[in-house]
Amino acid sequence: MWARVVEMSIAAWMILSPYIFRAQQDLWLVQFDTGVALAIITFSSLAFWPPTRLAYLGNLLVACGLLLIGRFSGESPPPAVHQNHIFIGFLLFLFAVVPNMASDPPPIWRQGSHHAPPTRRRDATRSKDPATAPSSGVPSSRKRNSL
Amino acid sequence: MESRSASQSASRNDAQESAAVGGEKNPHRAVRPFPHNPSSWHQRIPICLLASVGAGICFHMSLFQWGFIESAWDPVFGEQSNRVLTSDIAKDLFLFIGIHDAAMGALAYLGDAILGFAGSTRRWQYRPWMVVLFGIDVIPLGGISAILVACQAFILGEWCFLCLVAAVISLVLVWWAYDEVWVSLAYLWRVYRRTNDLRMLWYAFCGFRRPVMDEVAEEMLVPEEG
Repeated sequence: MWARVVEMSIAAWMILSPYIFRAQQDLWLVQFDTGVALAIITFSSLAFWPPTRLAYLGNLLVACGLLLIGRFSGESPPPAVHQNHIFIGFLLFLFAVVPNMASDPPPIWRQGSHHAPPTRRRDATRSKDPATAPSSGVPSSRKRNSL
Repeated sequence: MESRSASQSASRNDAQESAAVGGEKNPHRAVRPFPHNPSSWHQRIPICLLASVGAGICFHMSLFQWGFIESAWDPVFGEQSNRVLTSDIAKDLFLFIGIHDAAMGALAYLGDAILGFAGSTRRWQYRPWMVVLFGIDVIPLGGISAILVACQAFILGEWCFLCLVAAVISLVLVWWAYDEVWVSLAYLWRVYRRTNDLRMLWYAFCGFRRPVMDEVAEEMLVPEEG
């Protein structure tokens, strides 16, 4: 879950950004950056709760929004505060593609491998077409978590 | 004779079942055609470290472009580095991307490090999408670095030492990373050839599990000794 922790650090940077770039007098910008930070924190936090484990993918949308706002909402070349949006947008995108528990195999691949004892013998042999039969014996909720 | 046939049949069933459940004992088995596992930490940690060095170099150059330091460090070409980093090409890229080219390079190297670090020691099979994304980040980066260095030489006529170092790092990263991308693409190709089904190819790419994927991976793995 290290990527989620880094995303929350990025959110902290976003909250501080208007003050670092001396744009705190622009109320819209302060609200925008704070809103972005809260969205990142929400998505990353929800990823720790198993039913919403894929919520971190919402950060991809936040990253796209930051890129668009940073690139197209100011003059060209963008001022420092919008360069920050572009930079953070790219950075957030990089972390948001990293799945939870990224260093472990996905749960569906842990079944029957060296990470867990094999439990799918009977169901695997029941399938008629081995090429297209789903990996049986794995609860459907876990199959979804293949990323 | 009958007992030998039964034994062979049992052995075959065991092998099939082992393949079907992915029941390998050693997660660090080498993958054909390479004599090593390209997703092992031994292979990936050096990539992450070198990419971090590249990110640091690019970050130093972007500090100059942002105006935080007066001059970029260059023990060989002196002031030429500063002229390259403030050239018209650099300014055009800044206008086009919205951030300086050195900052973009830092992000690209950081991406190499992050995507190199994420994933298990068999991600070439378990998460091919991640390896392909890693390859997309690493391999074109080497090409872009080479193009930018060529621009320095043939358009500007000036050189930037840190840019050259960054370009060499990019090419080394391509050299170190291509085996994993190759193995992952070979795995996807074999799954597609075996099933002739684009949907299965997509499932394999996304990291879903089907028995055919275990079988294909088992064929690609070098058999364990003993």
